[in-house]
Order: sequence, then structure tokens, then C-alpha cells
Amino acid sequence: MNENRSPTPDKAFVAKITAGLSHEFMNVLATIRETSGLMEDLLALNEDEFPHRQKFADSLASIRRQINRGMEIGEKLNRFAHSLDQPRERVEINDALRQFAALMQRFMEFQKAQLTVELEESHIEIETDPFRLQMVLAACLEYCLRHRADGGTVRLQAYRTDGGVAIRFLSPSDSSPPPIDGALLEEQAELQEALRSLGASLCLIRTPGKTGLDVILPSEITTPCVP
Amino acid sequence: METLKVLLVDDEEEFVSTLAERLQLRDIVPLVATHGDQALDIVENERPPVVVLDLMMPGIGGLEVLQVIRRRHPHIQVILLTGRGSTQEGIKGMRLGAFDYLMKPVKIEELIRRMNDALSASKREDP
Repeated sequence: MNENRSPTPDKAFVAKITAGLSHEFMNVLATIRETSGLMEDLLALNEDEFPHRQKFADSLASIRRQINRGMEIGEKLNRFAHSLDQPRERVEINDALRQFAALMQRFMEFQKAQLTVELEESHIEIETDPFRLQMVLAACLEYCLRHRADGGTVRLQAYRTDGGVAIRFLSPSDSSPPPIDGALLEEQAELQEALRSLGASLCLIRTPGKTGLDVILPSEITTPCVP
Repeated sequence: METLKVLLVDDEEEFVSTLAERLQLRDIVPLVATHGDQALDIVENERPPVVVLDLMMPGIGGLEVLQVIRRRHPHIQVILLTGRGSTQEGIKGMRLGAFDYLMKPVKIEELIRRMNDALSASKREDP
């Protein structure tokens, strides 16, 4: 079997540049953080004599909050870039779902929706393609958002199965969702390709008032890597 | 109480000089290097018991600097400072004899605590 275990040159290039820039971005934030830390130190040394002391303290606290926010974003970006490094690797599903939820946070805010991660089983590890897994999860989330009731929360869960893991998306819904084939796969050749390369399948969940999808993933991919 | 002398090595000049100022305010004596060769020169001349070393530097890299320091001066303890994407490098550094490795950003109090632990380890190896 001729397995290609390296990312394609275009993916590798994107990964390299993104990882490098996110590293630089973190260095900038680290420098701002130390500088504001130094200002806090000096303020603490001269507390009584410092004019506008409270305004300074409040402004420094605001800078610290925004630096922490920037660092969280930088870390997400860096991890996302590194998900392109290997087309197959051991992935801890709970960790992958937390990372996915973090990546999707901004999109969810725009949709006025929430994504909650409900993890009940500890350490579920499979061998998969971390980048394509995120692509599939994002498509499933979009499907749930399209068919959810207004203001609904999408719940993300993971269960062990006999052959691997099921990742479940559940959202409240007023109507019965259309079949997966029609709504999710037909216009998305790339998604079909991603599912095939992961050895994964989708299963629609229809319960009263709820729409959902299960992404069924094997514990390891038995087909050759698709670059 | 003995004054702690520490060498800070990082190619981000503003970062490392600001960190040095903050340590100075806490009665620590910082030495600063912004590249690997400079770090090795300072180690030879000043023999600081503790080095805080960034892994990702242009030219002679952090792991190489670590190896040279450990080979020439085994009592000098090296704390690695790594970015989030460099965990594997940090683990490799531990195998090569680093005292500890910390992820950037690190709180200054935590850094000082680890530097004091490293100072104690250095004294044990070179009483």
C-alpha cells in the first residue's frame, strides 16, 4: 500500500506560514504584556505620588485583559495551523472538540447561538486526520444551525462506539430536518471527500423538537492517506 | 539572602530587556543576551547559576546553547522558555538536561519561583 503520510505542498506551506506568523504574534503580545507588567510594578512602587493612579490601574487591567484575549486567539490559530502538519495522527477527541468549539466561538456569536461541549467519557483517542475532522465538524455544525429553532444551543457530545467514536451534534428544532443527502452532502463534494478519507459516516437524529447528527469515526483509518 | 544572578536569553530584545527590568525591581541581577553566541560568552565570563533560555532563536538555536552549557558547566541550570507550538522541543530539551521548561507567557512570580528552585539545584551540584 502506498501511503502518503505528508501533507500536500500547498497545505504544508499554509501551515508553515500560519504557524510562523502566530508565533510572531504571540511574541508581540508577550512584549506588550511584560511592558504593562513593568508599568504595574512602577505604579505599585509609587502608589501615593502617582497622579490619576486609579485611571492608570484600570487602563493597565484593560490592557492585560486584551493581551490575554489576544494570546488565546494566537494559541487557537497556532494549534489550527499545526493541525495541518500530519494527515494522520493520534487525536484525543475531547481535546479536539474543545479546540473546535473555541475555533467556532466567533461564528456562533454571529449566529446568536451557543455551542456547548458536554464531555462525559474521559480520554477517547483515535487515529485520524485532525484538519479534515475539523472540516467535517464545521459542516455538521452549519447543518444544525440551519435547522435549529431560533436562539437554540447546539450541544456537542462524544461517545465511544464498538469501532471508534460517535460525535453528536444536537440542537432544538421546530421542524423535521431534511435528509442528510439532500441538505448536507449534495452540494458539498469536499465534505464527501473528507468523510471518505476519514472513513467516517453521518447519521441523522430525529427526535421530537430536536435535530441532530452523529459523525461516526473509526478508531483508525484503514484506507490510504488522501493528500 | 543571596542575590540571584540569572542570564536571560531571547532574541526579542524589547521583551527580554523589559523582563530584566522587572526582575531588577525584585532584587534579582539579570544578564541579557539576544542570541546564542552572546549567551555562551556571558556564561563563560559571568558563570550565572541559572539561565532562562528561549528555544526559538535565529542562528545558534536554544537546544544547541543548552547542550553546550550542560557539557561545559553541568552545575548551571537552564530553564527553557517555549512558545505554545514548541512543546516537542521543550520535551527534547528536558531530555538534553534542562532543569525545567515553561510556556510563554509565564507569570513573573512563577518564573522567579522556578529560578529559585534552579538556583538550589545549582548549589547542590556545585556546593
